This record gives sequence, structure tokens and C-alpha cells, in this order.
Amino acid sequence: MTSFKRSKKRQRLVKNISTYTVLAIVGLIMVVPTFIMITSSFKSYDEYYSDVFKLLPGKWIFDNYVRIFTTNDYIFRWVFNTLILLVSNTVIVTFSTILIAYGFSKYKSKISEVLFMVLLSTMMIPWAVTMIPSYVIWAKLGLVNTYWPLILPSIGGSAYYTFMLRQNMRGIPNEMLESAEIDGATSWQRLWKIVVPNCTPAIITMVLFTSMGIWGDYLGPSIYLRKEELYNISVGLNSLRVTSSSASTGGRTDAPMLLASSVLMAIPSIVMYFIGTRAFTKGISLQGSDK
Amino acid sequence: MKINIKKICMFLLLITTLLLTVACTKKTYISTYTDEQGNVQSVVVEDDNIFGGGGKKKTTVRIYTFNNPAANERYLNAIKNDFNVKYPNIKIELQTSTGSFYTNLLSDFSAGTQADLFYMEPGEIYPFLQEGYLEPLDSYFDNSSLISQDDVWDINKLAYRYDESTDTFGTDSGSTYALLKDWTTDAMLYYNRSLFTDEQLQVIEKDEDNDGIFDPMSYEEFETLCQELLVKEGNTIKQYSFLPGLAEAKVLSQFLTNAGLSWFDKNTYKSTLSTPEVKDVIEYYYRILSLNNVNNVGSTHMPLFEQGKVAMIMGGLYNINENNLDKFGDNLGVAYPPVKDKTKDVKPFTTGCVALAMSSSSRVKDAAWKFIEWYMDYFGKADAQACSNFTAKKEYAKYIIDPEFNDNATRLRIGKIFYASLDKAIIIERNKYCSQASFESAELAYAGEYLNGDFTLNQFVEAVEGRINAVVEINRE
Amino acid sequence: MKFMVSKKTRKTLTGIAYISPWIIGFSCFGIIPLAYSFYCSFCQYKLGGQPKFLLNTDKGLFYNYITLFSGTYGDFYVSFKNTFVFTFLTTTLTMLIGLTFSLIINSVPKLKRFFQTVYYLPGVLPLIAATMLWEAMFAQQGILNGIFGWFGAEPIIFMNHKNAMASLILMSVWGGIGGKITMLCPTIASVSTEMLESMELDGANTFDKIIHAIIPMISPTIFYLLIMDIIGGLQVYAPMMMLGGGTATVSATLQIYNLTFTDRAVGFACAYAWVLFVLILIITILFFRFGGKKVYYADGD
Repeated sequence: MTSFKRSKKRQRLVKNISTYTVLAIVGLIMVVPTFIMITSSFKSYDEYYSDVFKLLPGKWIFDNYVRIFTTNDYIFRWVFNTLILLVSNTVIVTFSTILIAYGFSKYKSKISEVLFMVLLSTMMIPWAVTMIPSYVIWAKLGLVNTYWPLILPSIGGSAYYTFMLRQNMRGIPNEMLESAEIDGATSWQRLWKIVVPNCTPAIITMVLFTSMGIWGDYLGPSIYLRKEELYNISVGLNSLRVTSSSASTGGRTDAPMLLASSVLMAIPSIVMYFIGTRAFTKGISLQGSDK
Repeated sequence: MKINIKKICMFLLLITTLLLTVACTKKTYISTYTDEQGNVQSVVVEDDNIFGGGGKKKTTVRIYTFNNPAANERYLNAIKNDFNVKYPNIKIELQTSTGSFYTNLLSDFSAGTQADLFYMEPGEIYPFLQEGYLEPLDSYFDNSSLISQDDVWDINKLAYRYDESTDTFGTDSGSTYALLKDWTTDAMLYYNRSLFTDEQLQVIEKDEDNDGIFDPMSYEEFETLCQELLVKEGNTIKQYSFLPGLAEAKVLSQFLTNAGLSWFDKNTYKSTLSTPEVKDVIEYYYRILSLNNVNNVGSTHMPLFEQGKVAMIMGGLYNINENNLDKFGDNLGVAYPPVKDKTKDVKPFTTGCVALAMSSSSRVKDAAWKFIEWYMDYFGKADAQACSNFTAKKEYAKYIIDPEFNDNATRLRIGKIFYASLDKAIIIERNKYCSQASFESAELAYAGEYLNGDFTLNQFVEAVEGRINAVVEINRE
Repeated sequence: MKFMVSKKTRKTLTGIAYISPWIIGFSCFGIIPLAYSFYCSFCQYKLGGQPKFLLNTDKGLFYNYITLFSGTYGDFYVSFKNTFVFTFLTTTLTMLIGLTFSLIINSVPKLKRFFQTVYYLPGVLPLIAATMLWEAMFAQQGILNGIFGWFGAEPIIFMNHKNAMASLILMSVWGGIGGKITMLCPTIASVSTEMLESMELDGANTFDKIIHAIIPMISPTIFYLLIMDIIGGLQVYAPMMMLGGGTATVSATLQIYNLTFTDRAVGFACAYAWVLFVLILIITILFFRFGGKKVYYADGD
């Protein structure tokens, strides 16, 4: 090895070490609060409030976790409910959004441009504007306290992800599609055989984030769902927080138990995230190799 | 790895269909409960599926309750063991609320999905009265053999008897729209005698008119005690002298009432906070709060009192049961809230008086009334025996104040003091156009900054007053 | 009889066919509530009652809007000021920090996905948990002050008038960085390596590569992220609701929420929401006008 190569190697080593250090330090800042949350969930109620910033609990208590499952009959029902909402919503939204983005990106016309502007502006509608009127309308239809208000609107796809997918689809050169058309492929085939495989990373992101959003969705279900059996996991665990604060602890939020339930809720999200990013990078490499 | 999108989509659609089918089928399951003998009984329950709809064969009465699982569990057991034995053809469905109970209830009314029976409070009843959502109960009382309006405390009249033509409460004309389940004076002053010196005890336990009941303290005496009983170590408080125990706005309201004032004008319903007298009381009250580092944490103070770290705290009879206060034994004391002017009488109020009300559009009114009757007897007795409150029927007070029925010395003594206070009790004042919740939220929005010193008194008063007046104006016809 | 339509028309019709799910969804679940909400903003609507059209009362048609703009409902202007400050600072900071770290993460040979996950962790927590956590962090005798104590520094009051907004921004940036990194890292990675290598041969250093090649190539994504952040930020309410802060932090949507669920003045809340909506529209259009030109699209549109 020449001395030049050796010094270049050392340069790169130094750079890498310093980069990793920076990443690690900032990463710690990201992680420490989460870590505190996890350790606090093993603290007893008194310990949590007396010594808030003690990082490790004196006694590791599993009682919080146990209580989540025992003081409540519905917890597995809630998970089941959330799964129903999650799968149906995600499937419908993804399917719709793919179609809609395809229409907007590859079939441009004056009308579709105007409609796209309208779509963009719908993203700007604050949920506050439509919240109560939507509730009143669903109420008049007699569909409050069911899952329909939470599932049917997915038919319209998601404005955010339509935007993103459209951007993505525009990145696919039209020549590829035109040659497929000449070969006799219909628009439907072109969509599923050419466009979608090339947008896999984006679609996976969409599925991933939509799922995580529905898993943690609190607002919609809290407005429309009134019966305990129908709650999704987010509303259900939150109801535990409210209840535990009035009955057993005389008014104070049972923080460790709430944190325990949050940890439980976060685990599937993390798993989803992990799986998603893995498929994502695989999709990227696929995309790269196609080019 | 080849990703065949089409196959994945088909697969997911299949799963969705399967899940939806499963969810749509009605489920029956066995629910178990433990009866009074400790035996486990089971009952078959039909569950509604997620897309609405369910079997309604018997008369079903739906009751909307607060989110308190311990209490609701108690109700369910009592219903199964006692109510359903007496009335096997009436099915009771309990529904609990998350979030703001009365807002949810109002939303239910506008959706047409309201329950048949629900809780009610004096400070929240106006919107329901204005829309005619409540069923007048007088005819049910008259036809009932189990309970009549004379059996119930007079406070029920003040709280829930409303005359629409004169827009007043508590008159003999008009109708009764709800029946209280239980009540107590809420803003009485609990104090921990072991933390007081003898001189201080003499101040709080004065009985100059010799009527056997301690006199309320004056504002000066109260503030002096607050200053003396505060124990600090550097910047941390080791012993609090006074904590609200209830929402701060509620306790402020009590202080104003005891000064002969009010936070709003009875005719225009607009705020009076900027008048000099009211401002004085506000300044006084928050001075005491800031002495104790109180800042918008409201009702989480009772546990501290339980631990012996607080000298004085506001509360009601139910705190004995809820917070195990009888462990203090003879060291537990109860006094009237302080008055500004000792020549005027003290007016301890009840902020609670939670009642059961019936929806005027319910289709099972008679069955619902049967539940009310049963509740007032069954839980009237049970709650009084547990010393958790004075219950609707006056006769059940004996379980609290009669030594023949109450063998717990502390509960007997404290119960008698609360009982005496009931004579002077009034309902917390209610503003037709600004609900209790709105007032509390307005106070909560700005009190923090005032207590921090970021707002002057005038800025604070202006801000809260502005909010109250805006809400009144918006809601006024 | 078979219709002979031109290729162009057929193209348009196909497009609309694909867009139709959105058209259906929007008509049913978008326009109708929107129109009703617009109507309600001209009504006196107390929750639980029926909307009363303002012309039928003695308050005048524009009563709700006049009350809003005259500042009668105290914190109207303050809430928008807070909302803007929050949005602007959070969006900028999250993007800058997110972009920087995406570039850094992308440049290291190993552990990319590990760091990506670590940085995303804050965003995975349910919002309630995160706010409770930060409540504990910001408390007077809380976690952060405890850490400062170790280093011998003075405790800071986090939620007083001066610092409350900064505290909330800190919390939001902490949670928001992960999302940016997740989106940006793969996009950066997909920037054509041949182009970068040829630039290196031409003598470009890392800095040049970043400014002149990578950023333009990922600009659509950056643009998208910024818009989403701005629109989301203008609707923020959860941190303010959970952590408090009074007039220093109250946001527009929080006011709307309180007006609806506590004060129960739905018509008034609708008017407030429409003002917010119009503001969001204006800001987004401005952003598109001035920012849109800087975005580079690969398919030449």
C-alpha cells in the first residue's frame, strides 16, 4: 500500500468515527426520553411521583402491565377492533390512492389539473372545520357508534399520499409506458405491471404510515365510538388513564400505568416500522436494478 | 424477491372480508359475576356486532354514567343481584362516557342516540332545559309508592325544580326535572389537627355563639393560619397550609359566595369580576394559592392531605370514604369555609348534587322510573352505610349520624358536622349562558400566568372576564 | 353504435375513471360537511340544539365573524400568532436538522437502518405518552432540571410565559425529525450514483455535490415534506392542550376545540375554523408560488 492510500484510509476512518460519534450522541437524545418512559412504566405509582427523574426504578414492578390486562375485560377486543379498522382502512386507502394517483399523473387533461388543485386544497381543510358537521350528518344517518364513519371515507383515498404517489409516478418515464401500450397492454395492466412495481418504496411508505396512523388514531374513534366494546386500542387505553385517575388514585393520573400502556401500544408500531423500512430498502434496490 | 402486487391485494381483500364477516356476526357470550354470597353466577349476554344493531327483546333501559369502573362494577352487580330479581323483564344497559360527559350527552341528543337515563348536575342543566330534553318527574313521584318528593332533601327543589315561565329554580311552581342521588356540602374545610398549635386550634374551633357548631373564620384569620402553617425547606414546600381539593374555579366561587358576591350578574349573566369587591376576593384567594405553589393542578391534592402533608383542604363527606380520612381519627376536623364579613352568614355550597334525569323522548319511561326508585332505596342505604354521601332520601342519613347505626366514631363525628352544614347549604351558582365548565376553562386558561407573575391582577381579571362575557354574548338569544 | 372518440378524449375519460374514487369520496365526505360547516358559521349553534340562522336572530348575519375579528373572544389574534410562530419554527428546524442528519446517515457505510430506526423512535410513541413524558421532563423538579442539576446548572422553568413556546417547539422537533429522515434517507440514496461520481471526477467536493446535485434531485420530496409540515403545523393543538402554557402557546385549533367541546358554541367554532382554513389556503398558495419554481422534476413537467 502506498502511503497515499494509507493516509486516505486513515482520513476516512477518522471521518467515520467522528460521524458515528455525532450520530450516537444525537441518537441518545432521541432515545433517552423513550428509555425513561420504558423504565418509568416499571415503577410503582408512589415512586414515580416522588422521584420523577430517577432513571432506574428502585423496584421493578410488573404490576402496571398486569393491571392493564386484568382490570379490563375488553383489551383483546380492542386489539381485534383496531385490526379490523387497520386492515380495512389500509387496503381501501392504498387501492384507491394508487388508482387516483395513476389517473392524475398519467392522464393529464385540463379537467384533471383543476381537480388536482381541488385535491390539494382539501389537504388544507382543517379537520376542525368538518368535524362537527360530519358528526351531525353521520348521526342523522344513524351510523354513529358503528365503524362506518371510520371506514367509508377511505374510499376517497388519501390526499397526502395521492400527492406523494403522483410525484413518484411522474418520475417514471413515459416512453416505457408508451412502448407497453404499443405492445397491447391496457391501462390497467400498465398500472399494475409497470407503474406500481416502480413505485414500491412509496407505496410501502404509504401502507406503513397509514397503518401506524390508524393504530394510534384517537380523534375519530373518540368522537364516533361510544360503546366500550367498540373502542380501538388508542381510545381504550386512554379511557383506562381517565378511570385510573379518578378511582384508585384520587384524581391523579396513574402515570406509570399509562406509560405501560403506551409502551405496549408502541411495540407494534415499532415492529411495523422495522418491517416497512426493510421492504422499503429492498424495494429501492429493486427499483435501482430495473434502471 | 418478486412482489406480485395483485396477489397481495387479493390476499388482503380476502382477509378484510373474513374479518368483517366475523365481526358482523352477533356474538353471545357468558358473563360471570359474583353475588353477595360469594358464589360465581353466569348469565348469557347477547353482544351487539360492530356494525350496530342488536337484539332488543325485553324492555331495555339505557343509562349513561360517568367513567368510574369501580362504581359501574358495583352497579352492575347490584342490578344483577337485586334489580333483575325484582324486575326480571327490564334489562339495564350501562354506557360510560370518555371525555366530557355533558358534551357527549348533548352530542347524543343531537344525534338522537341519547340514553334513557343519565346523570345530571345543577351547573350543567340549563342547555337540557332550554331544549326540553328532560322529562318532568312530578307525576312519577305522585304515582309512586316507594318515594315521594317530601322524602327527598329540599335541596333537590333548589337544584332541579325549574319554572320555565319565570325562569327560576326552587319555586313551588314549575316541575322537577331530576332527582339527586347523593349530595354533601363540598367546599367544607377539612383540617389536620395534629399540624396545628393549640392557639391555632382555638382560632379554627371558635364557637362564640355557642350553638355547638364551630364558627367560620374571617378572611384575616384564615390568611394568618395559611401563612403560619406553611412549612418550607428552601424552595420546596414540606407542609402545605391550604390546597383547594376541588377545581380552583369552584373554590373561588365559594369564597365569593361567602363574601356575599358572585362571579356574574344575576340579570345580565355577564361577569362581575372587574368590580372592586370581587377583585379583592380574587386577589386574596390567589394570594393564598400562590403561597402554596398551587398552579392548575386542581383535584389531585387529596392524596397529599391523606399523607398528612396538608394542614387545610376543601372537601365533602365523600372524601372520608374515598381518601380513607377516618385514619386520622380525632385529628380530623371539619370547619366552615371562611367568610369575609362575620356578620353575614356562611353559605357553604354543594358543587355536586349529581342526579339521575330522564330523557323526555325515551320510550321506556316507566321502566326507567322503576330503576330510579330502586336506585334511591338500594344505593341510598348502601352509600349512606359506607358514609360516602348523604343520599336522596332524608331517612337514610341515620346511617351516618345516628350512633345506633354508625359505630365508627370518627365518621359519626364528622358526619354530624356535615349534617349540620346542610341546613345552610345552597347550590353552586349557575350562569344560564356560561356553563360551569366554561367558567372553569376560562379560569384555567389564565390562572397559570397570573400565578406565575406574567399577568397583573388587572390583566388576569380582564382576560377571564372577556372570555366569560364573550361566551355569554355568543350563547344569548 | 360504437362511439368514435378522439384519443385525447379517451385519455381524459380514462383519467377521470381512475380519479373517480376520489370524486365520489370527496363529494360525499368532503363537500357536504364543508358546506354544512360554512352554513353553521353563519348560525348560532349551541351543541345539543339546532343551528339557528343568524339572519333570523337579532345578532346580524356576520355576528360570529365580527365577534372574532373584533377580538371580543380574547385570544383570537394571539392564537394565530402562536400558531404561525410554532409552525414556522418547527417546520424549519425539523427540516434543517432532518436533512442534515439524513445526509450524515447516508454517508456512513454501515448501521444506516439502525440509526434510522433510532431517530424515528420518538415519532412512534403515541401522542398521549409523548406528552406525558415531556410533562415529566419539563416539570419544575422534573427530568431535564434534574439533568441540569448534575452538571451544576440552574433549573429552568420550562412552561412559563417566556419559555413555553420554545419548550413545545423542542418537543415537536424531537418527535418530527424521525419522519423526515425516514423519507429523505432512501430518496437521497436513490440519487444516481453515476452522476455523483462524474461530478467527483470533475473536481466537486462533498459540499458541491450536496448543494448542486443531491438537493435538487430530492427537491420534490423536500417540497412535499415542507407543505405537509406547514399544513399540519397550522392545525396543531395536542401539545398545547396537554402541556398548557396559557396565552403564550394557545393555538387556533385548540381554541376551536375548546369552543366546541367546552363552551359548546359550535357555530362560532365553525367560523373560527373557516378563518383558519382560509389562512391555510393563502399560505399554501403563496408557498406553491414561490417555492414551486425551485423544484426540479425528472419527467420534465
